[in-house]
Amino acid sequence: MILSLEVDSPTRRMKKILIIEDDLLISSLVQFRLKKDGYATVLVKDGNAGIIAIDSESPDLIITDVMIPFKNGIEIIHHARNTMPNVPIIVLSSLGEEEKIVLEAFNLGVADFIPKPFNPNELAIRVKRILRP
Amino acid sequence: MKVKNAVSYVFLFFLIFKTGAVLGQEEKIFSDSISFVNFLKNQGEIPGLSYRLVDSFQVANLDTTGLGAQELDLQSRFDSTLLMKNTLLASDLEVQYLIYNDPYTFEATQEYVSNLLRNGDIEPATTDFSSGKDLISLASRVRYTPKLYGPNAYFGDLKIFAVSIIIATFFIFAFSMILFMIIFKARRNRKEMLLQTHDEEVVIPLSEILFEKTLEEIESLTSEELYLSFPEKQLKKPLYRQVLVERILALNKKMKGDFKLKLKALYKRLELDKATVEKLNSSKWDTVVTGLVEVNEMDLTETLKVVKKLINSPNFQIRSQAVATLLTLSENEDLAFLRDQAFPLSRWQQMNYLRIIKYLHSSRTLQIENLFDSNNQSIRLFGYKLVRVIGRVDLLTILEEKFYSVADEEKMEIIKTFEYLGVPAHTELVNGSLKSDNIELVTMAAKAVGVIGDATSIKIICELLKSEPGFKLQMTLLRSLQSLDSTQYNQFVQDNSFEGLQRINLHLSDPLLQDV
Repeated sequence: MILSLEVDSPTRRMKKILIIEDDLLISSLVQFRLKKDGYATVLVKDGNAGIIAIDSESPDLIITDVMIPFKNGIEIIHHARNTMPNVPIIVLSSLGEEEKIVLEAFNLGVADFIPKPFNPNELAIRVKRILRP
Repeated sequence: MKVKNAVSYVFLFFLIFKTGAVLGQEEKIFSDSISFVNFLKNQGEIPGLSYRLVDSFQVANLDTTGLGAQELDLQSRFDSTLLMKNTLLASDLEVQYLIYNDPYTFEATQEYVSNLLRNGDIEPATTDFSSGKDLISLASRVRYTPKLYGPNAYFGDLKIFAVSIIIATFFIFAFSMILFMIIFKARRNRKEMLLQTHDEEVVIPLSEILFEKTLEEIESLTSEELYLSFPEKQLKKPLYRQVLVERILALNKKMKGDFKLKLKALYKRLELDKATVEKLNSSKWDTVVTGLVEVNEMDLTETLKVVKKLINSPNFQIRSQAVATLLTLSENEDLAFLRDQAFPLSRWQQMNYLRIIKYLHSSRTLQIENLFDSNNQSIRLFGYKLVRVIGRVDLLTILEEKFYSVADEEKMEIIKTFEYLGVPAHTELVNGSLKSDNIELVTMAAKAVGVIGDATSIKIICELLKSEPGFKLQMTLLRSLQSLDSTQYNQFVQDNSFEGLQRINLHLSDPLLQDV
């Protein structure tokens, strides 16, 4: 289920970021911060909705948590790599200390890995760097 | 054949008996024709029975069809028929009995009326027809009609009343349960809905404040400015405040950098810390623990006086959380407060406190030696463990002094600390322990001398081995001897041949089994 969707501006195409995060507060904060930077955002709260959103929304960047309902972040990355190999992915997870997950995520070609607790401003800077033309 | 006859006799006996019972039931109602006539006179109308006066000749030659008879009108009452007969003064007139308009004989009519009485289809008008039977047999023919009517009948029957009470109680209980569940569920649903609504209400204001205001701006926010984001009316609602507290705490765990400071500043500006202090004074242990967690997460150092009062709480959860909070937040407190704890420390508590102390000991003076003087043995043991885990070699001298005045359990913990820290200077107490009567202490000391033993230890080990102790101690002693001096070990193995020695030697010499 897509929780919220910011529609593209008619004059300038905004970069669309898909946020897959089950914690409403965290996802809302990230969305708020990214909106301030001028990005369009799509917010979903579980793995199944995330996969549907990847196929239907064609995002320019995916930010995903690892521990999410129905399908985990690694499965999301697998799907994204198969369908949209060039879309950058940022993994946002509290499993930062789990070396295996970090390595698996990087092996699948994620652009960045941000462990929780995190600083939303830092995330915004990383997003800006990745989406820089 | 005899058997067949016997069966026949038994059958006949029961047949007679049964027939007697049947006859007994069909006893005569009217003993003679006079009583029947009297009954008819008194009874008045009888359903299906009518009378008429006919010529006696015709009655004598009764024609069941009644055709050709010189008849008078049908009468429904016997007394009026007799009156009519007397009035007519005709001696040749006879009363003819008709059952459903068919003429019958006197006997047949008597039987018909008797059947009506037996079946209770008619009630005797008077008791004049009494045939001299007893009252009980007469009463048995009277239909039952309750003597009590209405509420009297209900309350007069105790059994029905009791059953009714039980059924009523059951229904009242069942309906109460259903009602309670409906109300409970409705309230819970309403609360969940409100929580969700409040959750959505606080997300945007929190995001705006955190991203658009600096720490200084948040600290200097006026009440009016705060009310623009968090309406005053809402802030007065306990549920809204609860959601705010939970959200701020959750964010504090997942955020880092200046966001944490902003969240703490906002927590105080919204005066949520007052609610936290109220929780600390609650009579419910779970509320107190929640308050302690909030103090810990939001660094509410001004509440530490209240927290300190809780460290000796009889409730395990409260005192565990209170100690953890005090350890984390208090800059000035050493471990003296822990020394005075009356309750024994569980392994879980020790692990929890150790995690905090390991993190803090480099930046704080914790005075671990305070714990050695505690009256609580579990606290003293925890103190010895802390020396070992934190690596406070400087406290070993104090431990050596304590060693001779403490119980064996503590001696073992101190020896373990000496062994772990590998300080060979304090061998006297370990060597002394090898001569103890407590086998567990000797085993612990035997293990320790392998690391911190000296020449004296080797002599004691050899003496102990010659006394052929138990297998476990034997193996520990041989392992320690091997570790202290392999030459002496080999010499000892060659010179002695007591049971198990060679097996242990093979085990210790095998590199694959070194750690087994």
